[in-house]
Amino acid sequence: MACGGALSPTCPNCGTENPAAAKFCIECGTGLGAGGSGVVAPPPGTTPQPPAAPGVTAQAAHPAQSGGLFGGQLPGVGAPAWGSPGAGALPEERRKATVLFADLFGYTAIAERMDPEAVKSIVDRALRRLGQEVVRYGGSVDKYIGDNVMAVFGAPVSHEDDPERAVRAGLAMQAAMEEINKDIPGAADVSFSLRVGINSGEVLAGQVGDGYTVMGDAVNVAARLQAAARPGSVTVGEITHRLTRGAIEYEELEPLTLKGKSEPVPAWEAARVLIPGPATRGARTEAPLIGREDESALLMSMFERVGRESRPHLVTVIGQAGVGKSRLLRELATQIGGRPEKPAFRVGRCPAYGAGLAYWALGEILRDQFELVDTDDSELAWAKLLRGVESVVSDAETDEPPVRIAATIARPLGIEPPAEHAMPTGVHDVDDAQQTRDRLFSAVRSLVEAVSRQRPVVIALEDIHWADEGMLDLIEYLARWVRGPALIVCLARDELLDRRPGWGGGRRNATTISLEALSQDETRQLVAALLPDGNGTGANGQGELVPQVAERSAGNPLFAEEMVNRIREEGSKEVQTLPETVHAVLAARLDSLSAPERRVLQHASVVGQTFWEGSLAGIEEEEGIHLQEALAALQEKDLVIPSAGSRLAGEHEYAFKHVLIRDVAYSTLPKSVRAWKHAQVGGFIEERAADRSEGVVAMVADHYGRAAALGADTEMEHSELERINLKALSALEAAGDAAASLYSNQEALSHYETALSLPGERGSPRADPAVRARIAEKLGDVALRLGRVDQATGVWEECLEFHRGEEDLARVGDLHRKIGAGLWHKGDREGSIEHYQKGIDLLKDGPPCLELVRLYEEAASLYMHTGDNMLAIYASEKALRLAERLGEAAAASRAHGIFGRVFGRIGDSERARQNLERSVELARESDPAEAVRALLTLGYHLEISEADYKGAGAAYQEALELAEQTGDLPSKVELHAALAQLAAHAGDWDAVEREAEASGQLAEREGLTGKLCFPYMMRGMLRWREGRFDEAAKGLRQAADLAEQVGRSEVAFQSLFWLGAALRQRGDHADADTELARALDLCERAGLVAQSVEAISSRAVNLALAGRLDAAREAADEAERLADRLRYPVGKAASLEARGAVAADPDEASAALAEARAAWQGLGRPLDAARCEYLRGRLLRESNPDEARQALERAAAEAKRYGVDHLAELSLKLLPA
Amino acid sequence: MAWLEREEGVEIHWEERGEGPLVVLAPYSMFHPSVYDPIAAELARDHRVVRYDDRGAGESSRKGPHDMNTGSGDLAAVIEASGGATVIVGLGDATHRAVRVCAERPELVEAIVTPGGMPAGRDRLEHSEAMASSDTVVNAFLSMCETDYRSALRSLVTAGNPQMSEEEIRARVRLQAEYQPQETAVARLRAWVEDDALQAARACGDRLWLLCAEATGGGWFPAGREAAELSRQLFPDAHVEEIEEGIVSRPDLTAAVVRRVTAPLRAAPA
Repeated sequence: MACGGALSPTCPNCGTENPAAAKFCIECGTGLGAGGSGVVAPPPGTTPQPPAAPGVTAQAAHPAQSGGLFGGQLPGVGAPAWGSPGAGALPEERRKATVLFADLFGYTAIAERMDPEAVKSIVDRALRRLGQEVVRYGGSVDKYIGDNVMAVFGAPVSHEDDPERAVRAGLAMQAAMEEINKDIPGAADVSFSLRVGINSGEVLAGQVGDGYTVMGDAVNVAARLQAAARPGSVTVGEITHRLTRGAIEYEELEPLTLKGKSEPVPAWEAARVLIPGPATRGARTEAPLIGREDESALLMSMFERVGRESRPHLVTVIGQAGVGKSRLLRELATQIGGRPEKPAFRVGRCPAYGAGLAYWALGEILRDQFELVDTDDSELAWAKLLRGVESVVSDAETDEPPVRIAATIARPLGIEPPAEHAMPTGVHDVDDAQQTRDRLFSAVRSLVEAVSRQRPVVIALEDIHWADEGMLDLIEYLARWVRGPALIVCLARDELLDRRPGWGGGRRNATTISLEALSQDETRQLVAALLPDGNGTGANGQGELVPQVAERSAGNPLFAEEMVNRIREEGSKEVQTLPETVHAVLAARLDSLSAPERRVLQHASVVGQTFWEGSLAGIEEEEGIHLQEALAALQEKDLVIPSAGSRLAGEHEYAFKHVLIRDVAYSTLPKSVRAWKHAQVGGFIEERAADRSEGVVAMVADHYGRAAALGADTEMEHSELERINLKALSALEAAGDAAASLYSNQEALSHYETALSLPGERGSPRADPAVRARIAEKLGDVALRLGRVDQATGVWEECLEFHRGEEDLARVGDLHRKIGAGLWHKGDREGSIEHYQKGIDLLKDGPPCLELVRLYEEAASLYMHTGDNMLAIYASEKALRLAERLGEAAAASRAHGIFGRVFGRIGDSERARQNLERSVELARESDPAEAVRALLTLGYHLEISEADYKGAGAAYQEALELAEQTGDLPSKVELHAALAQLAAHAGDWDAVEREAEASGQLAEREGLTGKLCFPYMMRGMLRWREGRFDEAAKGLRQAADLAEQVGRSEVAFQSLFWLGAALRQRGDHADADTELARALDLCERAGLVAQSVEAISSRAVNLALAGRLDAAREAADEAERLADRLRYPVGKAASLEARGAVAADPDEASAALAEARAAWQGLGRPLDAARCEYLRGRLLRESNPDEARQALERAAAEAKRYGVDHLAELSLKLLPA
Repeated sequence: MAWLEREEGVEIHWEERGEGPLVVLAPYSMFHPSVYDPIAAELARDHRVVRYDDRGAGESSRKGPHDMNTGSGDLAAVIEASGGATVIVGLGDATHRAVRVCAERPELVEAIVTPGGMPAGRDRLEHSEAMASSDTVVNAFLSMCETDYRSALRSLVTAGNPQMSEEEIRARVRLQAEYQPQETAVARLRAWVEDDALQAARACGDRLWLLCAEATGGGWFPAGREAAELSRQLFPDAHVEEIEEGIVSRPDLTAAVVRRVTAPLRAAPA
């Protein structure tokens, strides 16, 4: 028998058909039929009311807005029902709540035996009594249905311990049943028992019809648990059990098979309460620094040290959320704030959504330094920036002029330097994003150094576990290369080490401070200091709270602080019911705020960790909230703090005191509201940034991207969703482009991936395929830069298919080129050529186009590197002819360059020089960056193939000047090394040292690891000169290995050649032979024909010195044959030397070595000439001692003159008696 | 193994295997004769297959001259010594020599089957994508052969065999350099570059079989469809067929064409 109320078998919420007897929807738990919404729970801050009995008209304490699912529509298309104005309206929210269902068991039997009016009266009284227990424990009765009661803990008001409250209420309800049964007339043979089911989880809370309720799977499961509960018991689900097992004793049940659940559900039966009753309240105060004295002292000592030693130090403070990282930083700021030297203390934060925001923290620091705001127009922003940079940087103190530094750092700030400043610096001439990044790092370093020359610098970076990859690289770079007193303090959670396991490790100027939870004693001290009377005296009852709060906070200072704050603000004495997690604390704390304050925080949470007053202006109009008052109250309550400056002019900027507060506020918003609000915020930032949108593009993209993703999950109106999707796509693409231009490839990739993953409007296809293809192609570009070849080629294949369908041959051809290049990265030569060929086949019969030029160009380059010289010439010729037809001077220059290199390799020096000179001419006309490359190539040819050291030197010098102008740092590394090599030929070791140092410093400072082979080689040569052969060998091996690894075969050869010399000098002829054989092997693989003569000759000399004359002569013969054919001056001299070294007849040997000596002298290589004289003296010692003496003395004198003492000593040692 | 005496004491080394109609494998100056091993094995099942070393290479006398006329004279002499009336299978410059023999001594040649080659001057390739059409490339290659023979060979080997490993490339280069010395290779290459065998090839009429496969020639010559179209233009009476793969990877395809040519001979009573 039922209660007599009309039951609805169809759920009003989800439309599910339910069994006739169902009291709650089997799908979503919504109450069915009459009696629902008996009591609407009060809004936060109001006194709970006792429950109304079934059948009694419910008091609608806070009438809901009309329209929409849970309330009124907000202004704006598609705006979801949230935050509508109206007194006491409860907004729709996602909340963590605990739901209790209780059912009077035995009701049917009693109803059969009693008059219906008596039954109703008994049930009314019983449910009213049970409802009292709900209210007593801070819950609210959601509704009565028949003999059932549904109660909610955590909505609309959260407590930190709602699950525990619910279980306690359930047990109290069971206890109350005895009392209820006693009161039933004729109770001797009539009694009820109660079945209680409780479950915790996320619910959607808000108005349905006239009542406030909660919905979701957690509700459904609670109803099912109740139905499965043993009469007289309280049965709870998994989450409830986990959150309450410290306070409640349970008996584990067999997992229950519940209707609507595919898997059995774990369940427990509550036995008894372990920890009894209530506690007290307190008042808030500022948290002192406790338990972090050592860490604070360490930070200070590091600050002192960087000042004393004038060098940088990286400190990373690592610890979980709330453990006290920010507090430690504040302490440092306070301590150094009053110092006479007035240190520059700059703070940059990395937003939680910041993985896509390239150099966000850097931007904050720079804006702070130069007092920039985002609403400055470009002209004003540039003027401020330039003025600011000029005020700290002077030309005399840095390699970079202030204007170039300003122009370089302008980019991440989204400031466009005026053309007259940009052009002379070369900043905008170079497309190479890697170089752009290198220059940015260098400019920031120069700036930090400049500031640090005036006063010590502290750069504090918060939450770097959320920083973009580029920002992390920059931090490490600064820590390594800044020359000046700079303390870099990074705050991070443990997850930083997942991203960068080696962060800061292995360097002497890096320190990691791990912040662990406070000890019990320390936490007690902290809590005692925070409580108004927390010194343990217990004068007003506060003292006894200390150990309880300390225990509950588990050593987390934020947790403790927040608990105390709430105790102070609410005067709560319920220490026993303090929260289990920081999240719960904060959720409860948010609910303890007034409705306007809470609402402001929720709105602000969508903007981000920092927000602007202007971005919240809407709620003033829409909800009648006095924004400034609410913000003032939130500051007063220490939940938000005002920022020192603002990124938007005229806007007050605020930040959440702790990101967790923001996270919790954000988590309460329904997805539909988040979607709509993110779109609003995106629009707000876009509008305010105006012509400076580049600086905020990532932020705009993030908001629109989130709006689009969330909108697709919700019931957003179609046209609105489409509008947001378009905005999101455009913003994400722009953000990707901006990141890619800064070589922030990981961030760019993330933006492009997000753009491509944007869902289409329901039932409609995703974005315009042409736009998707365009973005996908860019995604491939950055993926390749990141070494993700498969990902790159994968998306390019898809793009290729799209463009093929569009019959856009130029794009298809170009994509074949890209795929070919990708495959070549993987070493798949065959696959690479196949794609180049396909592209060429597609375009060759059409009109000339740049895509075809590039296909031939890249094919030529590939062939050259693989030693397919003829194919390289052929492809270069094609590229050249086409480039000439198209008037593409830069492309023509590159083609001539490849031509020249290949001709040089095959020994046709004349044609090589002609082509390389033409390459230089064309490059000079077209592009300074191309000219650097062309001059470098010409210089190498003149040096290696023609031994024209003067010509080579002139080419290198011109290239170096151009590289200076364009800021081409990688080329500078190479050019300094090339000049060092020329100086070594001339025996000018001071110049070698100077140039090698310049090359090495630059490569190391700029982190150009691929170029380090140059300075390594030079340093190896210098060690050889000093006679430190072991060190020389080590350095040269390192240089050779690195050079091979990065595909610099010429450098690898040169390193191996010098390595052979060092080993020979040390007397290790066998090892020397091995290394020279390796050099020859390299020559064969890489087509270094000219160099091979030198290596074979050197091998012959080494073998002769080792007494292996047959092998030596064979090598000398081969060298001679090759030298004759190649008409290569150095080869000729080297082969003559080899001939002399292996000759059996002393006179013949002497003549050949004299000829070789003359040849070396003619080339301007005095040390090689001296070596020939040494060899001659050595060979003549027996046959002609006088001549030998003269030769050895001459060799010694020359070796001494040119600074190679070990050769001089060796010569003198051999003087005949 | 046999030796053929030529004028001025030059000895040509040749060898034969198998029974049946005569097939002579004419040597290609830039490849080691081992490239013919697969087709030789295939044809020897039902043919008498003869291969020989050009003068200046392999076991033959290391003595020139290495011009086209001398080369075609040597080929004719080998055919005569082998019994005459043969099918010639040849690649590259071997085709040039073969068509000359066929044009001048038609009684010695039943057919010429070339699975890679274009018996015409380089100027006939002017509009093709073949590297041989580029004077720059050809001159560079000649220059390279003269200065650095091994690198030139390497360039050929890698272009034609993208599948080869570094070790295989080196082994092939070593083999070829030992088989034919640099001077001989350069002389023979010059003779080929300067030769135009178009008229002789046309004179062969339908006795010339041009087989065109993709991915042959290492980019030096037209291949596949382009080769077939050009061949049909240049040699209207010849048989031009497109085949899937070349003589090394699919010797059976070339052998099948040879067998079609020699079918009547094989059917005739001995």
